[in-house]
Amino acid sequence: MASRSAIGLTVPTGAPARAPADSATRITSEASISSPFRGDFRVELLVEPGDRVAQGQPVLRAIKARDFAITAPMPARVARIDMDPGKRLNSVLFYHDGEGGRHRFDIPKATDGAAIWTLLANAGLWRAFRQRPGMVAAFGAARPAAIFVMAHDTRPGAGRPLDWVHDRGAELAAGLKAIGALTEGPVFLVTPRGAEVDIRDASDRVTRIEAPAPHPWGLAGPHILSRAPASFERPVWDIHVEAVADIGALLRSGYVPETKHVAITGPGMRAPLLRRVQHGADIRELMLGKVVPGRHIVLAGSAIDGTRARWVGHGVHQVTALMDAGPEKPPHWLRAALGRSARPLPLVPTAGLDQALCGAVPVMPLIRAISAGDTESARALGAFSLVEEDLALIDYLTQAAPKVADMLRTLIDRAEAEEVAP
Amino acid sequence: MIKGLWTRETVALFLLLALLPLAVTWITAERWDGIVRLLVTLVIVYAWQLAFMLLRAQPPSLAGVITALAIAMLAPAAPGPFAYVLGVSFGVVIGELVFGGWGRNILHPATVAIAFLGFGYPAAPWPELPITATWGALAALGIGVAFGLVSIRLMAGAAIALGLAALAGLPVADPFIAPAILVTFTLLTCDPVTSAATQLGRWAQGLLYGGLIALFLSLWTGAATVQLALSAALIANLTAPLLDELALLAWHARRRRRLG
Repeated sequence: MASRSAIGLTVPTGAPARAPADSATRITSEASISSPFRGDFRVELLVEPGDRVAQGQPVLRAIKARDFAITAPMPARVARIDMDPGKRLNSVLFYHDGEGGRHRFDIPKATDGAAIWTLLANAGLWRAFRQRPGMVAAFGAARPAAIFVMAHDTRPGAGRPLDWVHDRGAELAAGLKAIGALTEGPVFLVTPRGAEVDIRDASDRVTRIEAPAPHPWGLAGPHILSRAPASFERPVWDIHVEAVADIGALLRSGYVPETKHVAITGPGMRAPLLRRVQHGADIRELMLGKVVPGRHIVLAGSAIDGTRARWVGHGVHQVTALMDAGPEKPPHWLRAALGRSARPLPLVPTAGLDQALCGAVPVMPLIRAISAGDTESARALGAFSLVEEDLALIDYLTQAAPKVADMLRTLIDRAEAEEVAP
Repeated sequence: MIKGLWTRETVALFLLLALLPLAVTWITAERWDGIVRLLVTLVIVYAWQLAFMLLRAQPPSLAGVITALAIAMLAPAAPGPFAYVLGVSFGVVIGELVFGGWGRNILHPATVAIAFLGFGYPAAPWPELPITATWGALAALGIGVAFGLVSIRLMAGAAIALGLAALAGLPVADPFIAPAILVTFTLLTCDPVTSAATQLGRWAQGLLYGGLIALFLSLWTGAATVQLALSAALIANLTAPLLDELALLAWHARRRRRLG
């Protein structure tokens, strides 16, 4: 273990590495909540456009499992509900309206897993759990084989999640206790090495993992892969530590907390920022006046695993602004043709690749299995425990084309279609 | 959205930079003979790369220079230019290009070419490497490890096996034998593409290379040192996928034991 622990990479991003420790609360005037699923999410509306809603009030619920609601992120007026035919949700847009107030949930007397899960489903907090294989929102009656609470983030420019909850000790303890009731299996708390965190109240259920600072030790994937590999029969959930404290707050007070922390970083920012914002906050408004002049690429996530985004979605705790160099000069036609002629491009093993998954798995055999579409070998090597963000470092290192992360997504989607027949 | 460094061509470039000390020590010793051999080999290698680019749309690679250098340094003097062209072509085409170019090949093209020339023309004399090449090879290995292109486990495995051989009284450190062992190891066995790709596999491959050298030194009388080393490199190269597979079996077994 000791020989493995130093493995990892520091990614240069051309920006101050860490966001500041102090944060200001900023509720943007618009917020948008989008579907937590990539595919179908059929919903029943509980409000109409133009209605005034309280913060935390359910605005729609799933048709498949009616306990599962999506809630308003702030006191607001519902501006627009964007749906595809067949009641498939795309997104809901809210305008801030201070008159709305806050919605209070009844706290159940029972403290068993079913009661807590129903409360989390009603309060919209079910979306904080990400289920592997495949990183979908935890939904329905499924129970995980293990839960990983991430209090560590090593992505370039990421904030320090443990700092964000250090004055919420009681809520965190209540939250950890509650999620312990959601699974028969172990609950792991991943923290930076040497960090101080009080888990005495939940110590019988929670195992602490102290992880070193280099990337990717702050991602859930390598930890899940080496301690509790996920499969379709035994899914594994991971959740951000701030969301766990939110669950604790909900169970203690009946209110869903209004804000979460977001680190706003990248070479496009004049200085890195830390803000407390509502879910679905408008990134443009957050960045207004804080960016370097010029064209930007705005990503939800870090510079290596981020995707272009306009809103701070669920599970997003980092926003990155990169300078947009404009359209690249197209390469010479022969070069372009040769680069496209045989995909995937060959990857050559280097020391960086060996470290790109914390040494939890032999990386080259895993990449070969994924790019060959060999589901069986990839599964045996733990690919089902990984998601795109875990392989983003490999794609960054090698400029792989197509991205290994995308090939993994294809592999998992196909395996799911074959194994989890409806 | 941001891009890293280690594409196939940057790996080839840095590998070439790492091998420069070795190339320089060899050229200073061989002078024009060496330069001509290197240039001729380069022309053959890149003629085939050009052909495969035009016919099969395979982008040429800087790694061709490394292949040419290895063949020029280690190949036996073939009887006549046709034999040499044939040998080099066989190695480059069958060893590398038919698999889709550098990065997809299973064997090192130079190993294939040298083995073809060496075993196809058994009477051809094997080259003598200059003693200074030892230092060039050590420098190349050091730079390769610093860039993360040469596995330190592969090196450690070979060092352990060769160290044990030296303790057993084999002439591993002899100034006329050491250059062949080290240069062959550096140029052929340490190639990142065709060497073992798992950590355990690398240990095993290093040990195997050193062990084979020791075996050949003690049993194979009458063989030239480069011939010994090339044979060891060829076998170590051929077994790399097998060693990787065994390493994966060990990994799975360990994991099953730990996770139940």
